[in-house]
This record gives sequence, structure tokens and C-alpha cells, in this order.
Amino acid sequence: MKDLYLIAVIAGETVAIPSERIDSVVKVRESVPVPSSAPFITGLFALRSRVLTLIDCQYFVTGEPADLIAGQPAIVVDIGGCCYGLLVDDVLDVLPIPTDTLPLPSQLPAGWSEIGRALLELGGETYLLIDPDYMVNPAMRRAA
Amino acid sequence: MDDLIQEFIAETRETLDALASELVLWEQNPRDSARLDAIFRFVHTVKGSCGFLNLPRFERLSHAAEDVLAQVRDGKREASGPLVDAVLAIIDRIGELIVVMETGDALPDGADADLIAALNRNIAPPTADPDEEEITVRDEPDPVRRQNVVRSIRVPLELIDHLMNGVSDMVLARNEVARCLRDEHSGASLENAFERLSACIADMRDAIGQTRMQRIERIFSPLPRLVRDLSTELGKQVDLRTSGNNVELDREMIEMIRDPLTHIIRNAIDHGIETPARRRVVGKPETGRLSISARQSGNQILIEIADDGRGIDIEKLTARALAAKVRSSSEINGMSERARLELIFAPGLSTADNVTAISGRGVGMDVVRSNIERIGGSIDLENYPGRGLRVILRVPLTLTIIPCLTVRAGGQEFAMPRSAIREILFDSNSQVRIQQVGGSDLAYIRGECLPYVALETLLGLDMDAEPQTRYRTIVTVNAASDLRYALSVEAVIDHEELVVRPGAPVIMADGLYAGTTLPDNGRPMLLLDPLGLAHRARLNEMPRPERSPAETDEASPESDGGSALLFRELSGQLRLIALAAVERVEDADTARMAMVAGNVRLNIDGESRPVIGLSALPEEDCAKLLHLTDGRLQALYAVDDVIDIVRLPSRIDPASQPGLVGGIALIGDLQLEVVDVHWIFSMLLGAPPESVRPACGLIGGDDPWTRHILAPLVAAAGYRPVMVDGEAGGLDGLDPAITIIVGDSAASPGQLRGQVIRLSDTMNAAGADPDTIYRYDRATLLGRLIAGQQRQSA
Repeated sequence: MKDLYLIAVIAGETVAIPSERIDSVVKVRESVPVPSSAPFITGLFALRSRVLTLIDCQYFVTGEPADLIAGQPAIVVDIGGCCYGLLVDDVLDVLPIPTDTLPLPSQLPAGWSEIGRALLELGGETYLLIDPDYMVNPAMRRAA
Repeated sequence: MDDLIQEFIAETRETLDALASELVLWEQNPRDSARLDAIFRFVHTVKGSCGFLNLPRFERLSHAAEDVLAQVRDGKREASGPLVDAVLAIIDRIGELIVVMETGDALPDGADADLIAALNRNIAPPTADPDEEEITVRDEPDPVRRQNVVRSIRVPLELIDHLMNGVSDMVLARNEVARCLRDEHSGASLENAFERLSACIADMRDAIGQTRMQRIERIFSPLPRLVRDLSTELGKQVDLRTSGNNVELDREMIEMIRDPLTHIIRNAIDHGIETPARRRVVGKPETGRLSISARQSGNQILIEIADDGRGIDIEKLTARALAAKVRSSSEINGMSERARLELIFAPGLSTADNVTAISGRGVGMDVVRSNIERIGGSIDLENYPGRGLRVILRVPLTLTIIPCLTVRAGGQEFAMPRSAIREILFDSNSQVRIQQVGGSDLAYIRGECLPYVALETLLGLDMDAEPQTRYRTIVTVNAASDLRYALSVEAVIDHEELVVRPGAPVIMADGLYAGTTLPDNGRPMLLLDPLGLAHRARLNEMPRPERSPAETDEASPESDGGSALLFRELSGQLRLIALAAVERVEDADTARMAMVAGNVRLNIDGESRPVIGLSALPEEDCAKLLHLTDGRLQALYAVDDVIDIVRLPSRIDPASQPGLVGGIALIGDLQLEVVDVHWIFSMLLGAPPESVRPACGLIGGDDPWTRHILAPLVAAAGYRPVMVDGEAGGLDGLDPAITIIVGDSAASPGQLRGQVIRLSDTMNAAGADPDTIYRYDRATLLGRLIAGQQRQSA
């Protein structure tokens, strides 16, 4: 199912994440902050016996850390053998999008152009394709 | 087919590891046909599998080696040095190809003709070569391992990790159920069932933990080969001995110590052990000795690497340190011998005269030390100039379960590895003085000066405006062997064994945290890295604090009775208690105490424990309690206040009678009573409970004499009397340590294990044989029972 995408909301906008990257979607009740860590890290949360790092997706776009609302959804991804929760405003749907991706328009503001990889179109709607690797890997951040 | 190849790769790798030492042993004694057979078998197996799997290159190599080895076996050729080298080269090539295959790459094209030709070059009978290196390497054989091949299957590591995660989930779920059960006050039957379930889960967790353990043999077995190659290259003769191969370590730990260990061995052979000529001059046997041993000590593994070479030349080392400007001459002059020796760990220093390919490039011991310290271990040197060097590595048993101290700071909880913590005190303690010097804080604790930092400051947290305790707690931390500081936290919460996992790279990158853990309350917790905190506080840039002479053990030879805690009893008397027995000090809420069955007991985490030293509930809200432990059991001891930690003198005068006070120690001018911890535990627990006592079967009439007169005597001797129906003869699975047959007429059931005593009704019959005793010969009967008891416990 290569063309399946999860449609979620970050900073009020709908985005698409390739479903093969996603482990699950969970509701986060509470998180424990990590003092003096990078600002995009909301904290740690427990998923069964595992401890996951909660990434604040909104921070990349707005530069403002989001406050966790109990029960807010997080998309669990496994990157480099480590699990992360991507904190999003909402999760809407899972859609098959068989069409080819479109290149990013050049006028995107910095935050969006950094996390975005391409555009996807389905039934007249356009979604920004998000790259989860970028949001969890500080080394890549520096390289970008 | 892929599976078969995977299997072939794994198997060949394993055999290669095992074979490394065999090869060297064989070279040493080419006539050793057992070794030759083992090598032959390996080559033969590889050849067989390759033919089947269609791997022509492996087949050519193994075939050539097999031919030559067969000739040696038949006595047509001799195992000369060049021949052994050629066979080793072939086996190395096989190893390299295996690695290539493992990564999934296609096998490179390459000619192995050169290697094969080398095998056959020396067909002519080899002439004695006077320059030939002679090395002896001995591995202490482990015959048990060879004989009992354990049945095993290969399981992917991911599966084991998955199991481990699953079990951790189960433990958390169990804890949650336990909480629910406590709140609901459910019935006894449910609780019993739950207890059983808990025990099963605990067992399972242990078993899964075991699967991660590996023998240290895994890093020891390639060593003979390493030593052989190095000593050949350097023209030295080295006799390697390893012991403790069966010590087990977590597999991650094994990987972490592999490189440091290799480095230390390289140093030992390159710098430590002299050339044969030099050794002759100084009167040592030409063959140097290198011994490597591993053993377990508590929850640490000790690895000792000892050589009989020249040791570390401290003069030379300090000269180098000066030349390299690592330390100034005034600094060096002020250093103790020990501190000078530890210069070997300074970055950019080496005592090697020449930079060789093997070592002496000045990167080395500092890296070794930081790698060992990173995994919570330590490294110690014992230098005997001219006679050798002993390096002692101490590493924790496992990376994953770490004894931790949980602390609170800025309203958040953190864990710290207990191995780094030296002492915990309140800042209200009169022994502590905090002073600001040049903009930074210093803590003077009993005369010792340590850098003082608050955890909140380091982590950028706000101080809790309304802390739950009046005093802050100071934890003195040994971040590294030369780096100590005093860390102030809001409170120390508890000691716990925590399952620690590495955190995400973005979190670990800071260096402040060593991992994450999930305690029973289900809230994730960060494990602090004491060294990382020190770096954040820029403590590593301070000059190394010199240890004051009063602190070193040599300086006070008369105080070697260990540390003791000086405290004030509720009665106002000062007493001492062995510090090792005190787990922690707690201010316990009086509300958690109750007067039950004549004793004051404290409710701790759902368990009720007796409090010693209180005859009634205290009137204050709060009582200071020492948590005593003997490693397994806990007890509480109520005190008025904790005063100090002192060194006990080696001589403690024993008290005249056994009791709470075990002896008298002289500290300064004060004669102080030392509390006997053993007595406390023995009083609390009494004699072993019924079920663990050995059984004593009583056969014969179930009459009042047996029941009311004999049975209490047997019980007093430490047995559990069990009435056995002699007629039925059934012991019902009972396994009595001793059996007493009452009366001359009672039949003796056959097949009795343990001792059998017959009690005779008359004095005359007794003494006919040693196992027959007159029923009122109390002394003899008790003697036999007690002797049996001692045999049991022996």
C-alpha cells in the first residue's frame, strides 16, 4: 500500500504523511518535559512499557511551542530504531493518493518548506507531504 | 536457500571465533592431533557446505587447506611456521569473505591463488629456522564446556528484545492491577491468585534477562590470536593465560568492553613486556607473562589484565607530561605518586619511545578510560616499576537494570546511577558549609571542598517555590575517578532498580541524560549522566582536586573497621551503626505508623515493617527512621537524629552479653556503643520458619508421649516434627532429614532416606547398635538431632 497517506492537521493546516512510515496513532494523556533539550521536544510519554519522545510538529511551523492538551493525538513513527510521537492537532483520515507528487512551490514560508517534501493532490484538495525524518533528526537539521 | 546461507554464515562465524585459540595452540605443538583434527573438521565442514551452496571461492580455499592439513595428519608434511601462517591466512580470508556475505554484498572477484600457492610452496622439508619466533599461548581449558554441549537454537535479537518489552509491559500491567486490588480490598482467594501470577511474571522477567547474558569468553577467545600476531610482529614472547571465561555479562556490555580491553592488551605487549634479550638482562624469563582474568563481585564484573613487563616509568611519564604541556612543573611537583601515575590517562600522553603501528600514538588510555566510565565502570592501575602493571576494569553487570537514586528537582523527578553517588546529606547538617567563592559555590563537607551546583540551575529549571521539605538535600557525586562535586536537589525520593533504555538521539545528544526509564508509576523518568552534568557545570575544566591525605586509606591505618553512622538514640544516647547496613534515612509520617501486637509498625508501600527503638507511637508528626538492610531484608530503626559518618577503628571491644549493643568503639575520646545489626535481624526474624526447617519423621504409635513429649523436643532442636503412620508406610513425598522410630515393636519402613534413630523402651536394648537410643537418654538424642541439623546446613 505504497500510496496510502495519513491526513493530519499541523498548525491548522492539513498535511499528509506516508502511511508506511507510521506505526500507530495514539492519544497522549500527559508528557514529562526534558529540561534543556531542543525546543521542538515536548517531552517524554509512556506507551505501554516504552518511553517515547514527543515531537512538537507545530514548533517547526510557528516557532511557538504547543501546550499538550490531554488526549491530543500523536503519530507514532519508528526512525532509526527509536520511536517518536509526532504531536499533531488532529488526525483526519487515511487516503489512497495514487497520483504523482508535485514539487514544492518556492514561495512557502521557511517553516513549511523545511518540513515539507512535496505536494499531493486528490479530488481538488492539495496536501503538503511531510517528512518525519526531518523532525526527529538534529543532524539533518544542521545539514539542511 | 537464503536461510541456508544465513545459517552457514552464522555457523562459520561462530566456529571461526572458537577456532582462533585452537590454531595458536596447534602451532605451538604441531603434533597435537586433537587440535589438528578440530581445524581439519572446520575446513572440511566449510568445504562441504560450500559445495552444497554453490560457493566456488570458499570451496577452492577450504579444499586447498584441507589437502595440506590432511598431509600433515598423515605425517607427509610437518606443521612448520610458514605452513601454519599459510593456513591462518586461508582461514582469515574465509572470515573476510563471510563478513562480505553477511552485509549482503556480492562476493568480490579475487584470486586466492597466492594464498593457495603459499600453502604448497614449502613442500620441501622445512629447515630449522633459528630466527623463528617462538610464542607460547595457553588457554586454561574449560573441560566442562567441551563435554556438555548445551542444546540451543538460534533466535534473532529483535525477538528477544520484543520479549523483553512484552515482559516489561506485563510488569507494568501487574503493578496497575496490584494498585486496583489494594483499593478494592478484594478477597483472599483473588489475592492469592494474583500473588501466583506476580511470581510467574517475576520469574519470566528474570529468565528473559538471562537470555541477554553472554559469556565473557566471547571476547576472550579471539585474544590468543591477537596476542600471537602482536608478539610475532614485535619480536616478543608472550605467555597468555585467561581465566573466568564463564563469567556472564549483558551482551551490550560485552560489545562495549571489547575495544578498551584490546587496547590495554596492545599496550601491555607493546610497552609493558620487554624483548627477550632485554628480559634476559634484567633476569626475567624470556617469555613474558600476560594474564587476563574476569570475575564477578556483587553486581560488578572485575577484569584484571596483568603483565610482568617493565611497568609504567613515572619519571618518564611526568617528563612527557611536562614536554607536552599537559601539566606545569609546579602542578607535577605537588602531585602524589598516585596522581602522577594517573597522568597516563591524560589526553595526548604516551610513554612509548617510538610511535609504532600498534600503539603509542597518544590516543589511547584517555579514550579507554572515558569509554569505560561511560558505561558506569572504572579503571584502576597497580604499577610495579620494573616488575609489571596490573590494570583493573570494573564494569556493571548489565546496562539495562541499574540501581538508581530518584531525586526531585524543580517539581520533576530524575534518576541518578547509584554507583556514582558517594553520600547524601541535608544542607542543614552542621558538617556542611556552603560558601560563594569567585562567583561559584563551594561546599565544605567535613573539611573537603567540592564544587557545589544545584540541579535546577544545571537543567535550567525553576526552583520550586513551595518545596515539600524544609531542607535541600546534597548528593556528593563521583562523576569520574578524579571529578567530584556536590549536587543540590530538592529531595531524594527513593532507591530503585530501574530498567534503563537509551533515549532518542535528540535527547542523548546533550550529554546530560544517560537514558530513559519507566518506573512503576507509569511516568517516564530521565536518567541523569553525572559526568554530563559535570561538563555542563564546566567542572572538568577545573584542576583536579587533590585528595587530602586524611582521606586516603593509607593515612589512617588504625581506622580500617569500615564506616559507621553516628546517631542519637531517642533516649539521647549516642551510638554507632555500620554504614553498610543503612540503606537510607527517612522522615516518616507518624500517620503511617500503628501500634500493632505490642510493636510499632510502619506501613511502607503496602508492607508492614516493625520499627525498632519505639515502644509507643511518637508524639511528633514525624519520626526519623534508619532503613536497615542486610541485602535482602529490611528493618527500621527509630533515631532522634543522625549526626555524622565516622571511620570505625579496627578494634571493637565486644559487649559482654549478646544484645542490641554488639561492642564498644573508641572514637576520639568518646566510648561509643556499636549496634549489632546481626542481632537486630536475628531478633526480628527469629528462628527459620516452620516450612524451611528440615523435617523429622516420627514413626510409631500416634500416642500422647510421641505427640506431647517427643515432638516438642524435636521442634526445639530445630526440626519440623511430622507424624508418620508406620502401618501405611507412606511418607507421602515427605523427605525427612532424620527419622525417629518410637518403640521396639514398631516396624521400620524400608527406603528411608537420611538418618534413622530407633527409640527403645528399655535401657538394655539401647546401645546394642549405635542407632538405638533409650527414650529418656535426652543428651544422646539431642546430640544426634543437633548433629543432623549441622549436617543439613553444611
